[in-house]
Amino acid sequence: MSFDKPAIVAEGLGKSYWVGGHKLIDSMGMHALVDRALTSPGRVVTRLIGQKKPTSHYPEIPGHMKWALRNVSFSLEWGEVLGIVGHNGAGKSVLLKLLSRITRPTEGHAILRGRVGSMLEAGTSFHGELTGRENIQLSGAILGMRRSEINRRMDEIIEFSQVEEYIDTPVKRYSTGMVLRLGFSVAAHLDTDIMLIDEVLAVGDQQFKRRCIDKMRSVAKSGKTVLFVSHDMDVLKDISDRAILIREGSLVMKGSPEDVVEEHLKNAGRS
Amino acid sequence: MAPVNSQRTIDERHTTHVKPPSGFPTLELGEVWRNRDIVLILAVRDIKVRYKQSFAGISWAIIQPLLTMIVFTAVFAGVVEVTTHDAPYPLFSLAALVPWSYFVHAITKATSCLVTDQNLITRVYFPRLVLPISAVVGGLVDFFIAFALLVILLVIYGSAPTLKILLLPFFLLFTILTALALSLWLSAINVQYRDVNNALPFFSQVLMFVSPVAYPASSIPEKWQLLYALNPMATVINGFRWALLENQPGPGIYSLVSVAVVLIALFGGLYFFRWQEDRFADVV
Repeated sequence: MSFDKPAIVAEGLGKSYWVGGHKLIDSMGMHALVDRALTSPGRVVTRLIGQKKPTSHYPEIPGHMKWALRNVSFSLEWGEVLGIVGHNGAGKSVLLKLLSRITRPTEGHAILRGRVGSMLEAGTSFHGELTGRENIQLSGAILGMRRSEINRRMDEIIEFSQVEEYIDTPVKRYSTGMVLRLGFSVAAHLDTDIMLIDEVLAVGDQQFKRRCIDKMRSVAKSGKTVLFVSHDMDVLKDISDRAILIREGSLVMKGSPEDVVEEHLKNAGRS
Repeated sequence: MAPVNSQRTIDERHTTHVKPPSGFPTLELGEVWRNRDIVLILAVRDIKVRYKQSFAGISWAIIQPLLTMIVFTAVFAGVVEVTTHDAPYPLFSLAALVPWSYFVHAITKATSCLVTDQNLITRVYFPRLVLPISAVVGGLVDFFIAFALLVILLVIYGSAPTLKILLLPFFLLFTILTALALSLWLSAINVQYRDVNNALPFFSQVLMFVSPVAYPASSIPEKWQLLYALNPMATVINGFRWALLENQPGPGIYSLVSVAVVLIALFGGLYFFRWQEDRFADVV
């Protein structure tokens, strides 16, 4: 495969949820189908063979459509670092979840060329009963590392996490900080072509947090293609080549990190 | 912009397409195969976790079928007499209980697997089929331990194996596929309707009565045999008894009905699972 095509192309990405009176219902899911089948079986058949578009096919179900993200388009060249700026709940995490295929978009599409690694949340695949070492193997495999790759980088991961002393102790005996540090270490040692990074992953005390940010910086400068979500505007300006601003689910600005951060801060009071 | 590293080669296979769910799902079994490491690691995790802080540990895999066998023997060989085609009742029942225990264990574990591991589903991408497959594969450890108990009992009763035992792996494979077929449906439905998990103990109890666990399948009248074969576990148990014990009636022509049921349920289950899969992270 050649490098003349962009590493990431997103076109019109959107994700909607059906917000019901008291529960979140996926407008296209089985639940809606079963509800429908109980009230009016005839239309379920037409629904099944028809186009699956989450429009208001179910007016009987109370609630409304909520777009968590809509009409987001951008492209990213090889080795570029894109910073994503926005308030809490603006849709940044949804965008990362779509690109890492945790959930699928309602509309639009995206292509990612190369192996994709996510540094989104630390230690989520950990199991309390397993030791630190066992959890590194588990977590590494789930994040997409090969077994040989994990074993090769085991010492590096343990060293970075600073939990050497307890590495063969069940994780349930760890402090919260230790779990997060170990979780970050595993994610930080992923070696993929494209990295999706959420800065909230930088955790722990000031000193470890600094090392996390440094690690993210070195990942970003290593020639990988990176999507970087951050609330730390100085880090973001330092790391990113370009930036986009997301506000209430829409992409409102693309530009240099400096310009985008400035625009974002102008609205900081509104959050 | 950082310079492009031209040494790096990108595998076409690693291109990811993010798009809305549409039309008929594809199975993508190749992707599951590439992630077989995760299947094993999750299976090993479940085994380790299950027996940590447990006094009896892995011997629970023996205790359950053994106690059931003793109870069954007391009831069906002592109180109500059941024909066993000349096999000692303990052997007769244990030959059925070993695959049966595996089956119940596997579907119980698999049904809740997507909910138990929802922190993975909502935060990391990997083929979701890995989870029920891992639950079904992981149960095999218990199966082999219980099977060792069965072998010991065969030796104690002086029951010599015949060449029929060579066909046992096929019956084991059929058991695994039966468990997987059911698990795909149950696990996917359980994401949205936890009722499945509540109904399961009752369901498996009823299923045990319509499976020849405590009694021989031959006691079912001939006119009902076709209907009876719709339950693939009947064929599994017949097969285990036939392969391991002497003078047992083998799986007959009706077994083909069981095979058909499993194949339909398996492929239907795979497509159903893939169809539902896109919503797991949003719904669970």
